[in-house]
Amino acid sequence: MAPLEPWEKVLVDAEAFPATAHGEISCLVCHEGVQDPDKEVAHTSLVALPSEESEKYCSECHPVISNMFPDSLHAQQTGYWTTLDARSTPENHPEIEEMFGNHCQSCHTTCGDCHVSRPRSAEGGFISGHVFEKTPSMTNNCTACHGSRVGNEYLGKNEGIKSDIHFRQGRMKCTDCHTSHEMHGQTTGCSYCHAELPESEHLPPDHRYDDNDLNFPACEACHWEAAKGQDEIKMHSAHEEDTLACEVCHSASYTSCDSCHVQISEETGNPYFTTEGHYLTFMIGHNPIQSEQKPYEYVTLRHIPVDKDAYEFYGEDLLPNFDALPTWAYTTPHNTQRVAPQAESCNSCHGNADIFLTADKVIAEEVNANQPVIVDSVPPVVK
Amino acid sequence: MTKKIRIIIFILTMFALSLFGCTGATSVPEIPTEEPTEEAAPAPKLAAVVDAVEPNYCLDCHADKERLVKTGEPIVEVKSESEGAG
Ligand code: HEC
Ligand code: HEC
Ligand code: HEC
Ligand code: HEC
Ligand code: HEC
Ligand code: HEC
Ligand code: HEC
Ligand code: HEC
Repeated sequence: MAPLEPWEKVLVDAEAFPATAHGEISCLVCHEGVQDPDKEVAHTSLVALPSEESEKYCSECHPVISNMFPDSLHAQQTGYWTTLDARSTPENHPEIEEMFGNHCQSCHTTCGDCHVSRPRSAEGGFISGHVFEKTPSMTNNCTACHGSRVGNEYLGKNEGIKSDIHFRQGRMKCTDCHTSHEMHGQTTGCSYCHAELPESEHLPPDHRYDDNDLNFPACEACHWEAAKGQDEIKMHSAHEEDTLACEVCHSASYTSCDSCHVQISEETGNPYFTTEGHYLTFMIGHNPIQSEQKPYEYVTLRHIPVDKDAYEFYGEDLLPNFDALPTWAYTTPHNTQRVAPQAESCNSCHGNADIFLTADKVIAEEVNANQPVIVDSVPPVVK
Repeated sequence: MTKKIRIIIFILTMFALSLFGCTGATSVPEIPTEEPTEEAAPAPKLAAVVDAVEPNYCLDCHADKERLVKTGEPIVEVKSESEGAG
């Protein structure tokens, strides 16, 4: 993605934009400010990012999305908080919150980041002269944030590894699997799983992985014959149901990271981070989040860049419960292959200790945290 | 509902559909659209709509490359001190 010139970022298409539904609305309705030829005056109490307050500026016409979205993972980043809370303690909350504000908040997503502009963390700028695009762009929106891991895998930018078959062969974009309902945090409601609860459209954001068939893209939803071992492929009926997640056989090596530390620069006052390692791995382990929706015993795991003293800059021992969660986390790599190396034959996997997360592959300080995912014995060679 | 029951219902449904010769069934459930579309969206408040006669100084400037270049803030190069993958 080539960077945009500063003027390009804010250049409204004077023909295209006014011809759309939003272009018929006065700029001031969404951006406040004042009608005046002088820039300074015109920008008085300007709201540069109206969709930051979608309940105020969008809900009149998009009531459902605008009221749901603020609770979504993209808006709240609850996924971050779930893991931060588990590893820290309530007493450390103020320091963690300060850290979050400085280092994590920048990935907080507005409607505009998917529908109008490149995300601000990628320097911002209109995608098509302020026109609101119904379908977010894979590269200008999604991988501008999800680039270093998901994007590189999906588009085949990791050396020696082919792109995802859904991209290469199916020409599918992110939004072919990740629907508006998922992206907006619109769910089918709590009573879908909890019959006793009243009908409600709000699913708590920490239900990230408790998907139901409608909300999350699941391999099984599109390939149910494979999931049930009801096709011609021998590998699909070789195991008891719910033994191996699809990715265990279908993904190629994917990104793991080590040791991220965050800090504020003394020189510039800007936040920055350092990560020590960034490498390709393929590791099978036990499923740390087994549930009705994710029943598999074995899944792919990646090392996440968390570290006991990742937030040392903000205080001592801020993650006293470091061992509460594995540092080898559940992952769903985006580089699906028809025949990945570990599934070329039964014994590419059986008896192949290199691809199983056994205790010797975990650094000593992290062994406790990873007990739930460590594999004791590698499945034996099959005859 | 357990996954099994849902799958059985699905298979039965597909069977029934094949019996009645209904085409166009897909294996991905259709997601109902809750969002009002154009007809359901209330018209913007009258005062909000740009009066064609009134000048729109915002658009005048934001559609004019020269003026945007002239009035743009100078770029301050901030070198990122981050190291490694983000
Ligand atoms: C329906 C509401 C709406 C209207 C009307 C509207 N905008 Fe916007 N504008 C947005 C949204 C949404 C964004 C993207 C920023 C965000 O994430 O909220 C945006 C972004 C911008 C930006 C870029 C801001 C930045 O810092 O990146 C400019 C400049 C802008 N609009 C100018 C205008 C002008 C000029 C008009 C009138 C011709 C106008 N807008 C009308 C909603 C609106
Ligand atoms: C005054 C009513 C109104 C307001 C306020 C409004 N919209 Fe819309 N929006 C519409 C209408 C009408 C459409 C359908 C346009 C079409 O189908 O051509 C639409 C469509 C959209 C679309 C899909 C684009 C498309 O072409 O179908 C997005 C995305 C969107 N709006 C986002 C927003 C955001 C974000 C805000 C708040 C910053 C907002 N809207 C505020 C009326 C509005
Ligand atoms: C401004 C940056 C940004 C943009 C743009 C963005 N994302 Fe995200 N996305 C995030 C962050 C941050 C999270 C993590 C939230 C968490 O875990 O708390 C996330 C989470 C997700 C998740 C998992 C949670 C969920 O809501 O299902 C998916 C899937 C996802 N993004 C897909 C996409 C797709 C597809 C696009 C493009 C249509 C996109 N994202 C655009 C930042 C972004
Ligand atoms: C993470 C990316 C992302 C964010 C953030 C996001 N959307 Fe969307 N939006 C999508 C996707 C994906 C679609 C479906 C596009 C398609 O079907 O082609 C969509 C579709 C829409 C549509 C078209 C109608 C529909 O339901 O399909 C509207 C209107 C809309 N979004 C409004 C909003 C508003 C308002 C916000 C903020 C409150 C918002 N979006 C935030 C990804 C996003
Ligand atoms: C073929 C379908 C498909 C396509 C295409 C797809 N995804 Fe996914 N994505 C999935 C599945 C399946 C999951 C796992 C959901 C789960 O386990 O609950 C997922 C999970 C995610 C997650 C959350 C987990 C994580 O690794 O952080 C993000 C973020 C994400 N996808 C982003 C993207 C982006 C960005 C694109 C486009 C470059 C994309 N996806 C394209 C199917 C797809
Ligand atoms: C939204 C539906 C959808 C989801 C979700 C999805 N796929 Fe696919 N998949 C497709 C489509 C469509 C194709 C066919 C692409 C083509 O050949 O045109 C495909 C192709 C494939 C192929 C290659 C088949 C061949 O013909 O060589 C494999 C393997 C595969 N998918 C595995 C998976 C796995 C594993 C997941 C979960 C990570 C998954 N798919 C998720 C729709 C989906
Ligand atoms: C034990 C390993 C293994 C597991 C687990 C596995 N697959 Fe496969 N799958 C394969 C292999 C190997 C092939 C290719 C066979 C060939 O080309 O001869 C394949 C082929 C496929 C194809 C192409 C089918 C066709 O008819 O062309 C799809 C789609 C697919 N798998 C989806 C899935 C999904 C979805 C899951 C999870 C529910 C899954 N697989 C689990 C090994 C596996
Ligand atoms: C990518 C890895 C992988 C591939 C490929 C694979 N297996 Fe397995 N298999 C496993 C794992 C892991 C287990 C251990 C399950 C457990 O501990 O319960 C297993 C267990 C088994 C078992 C014990 C019964 C069970 O379901 O737990 C049999 C039998 C078996 N595999 C046969 C095969 C055959 C035959 C093939 C080739 C057609 C094959 N496997 C391909 C990973 C694989």
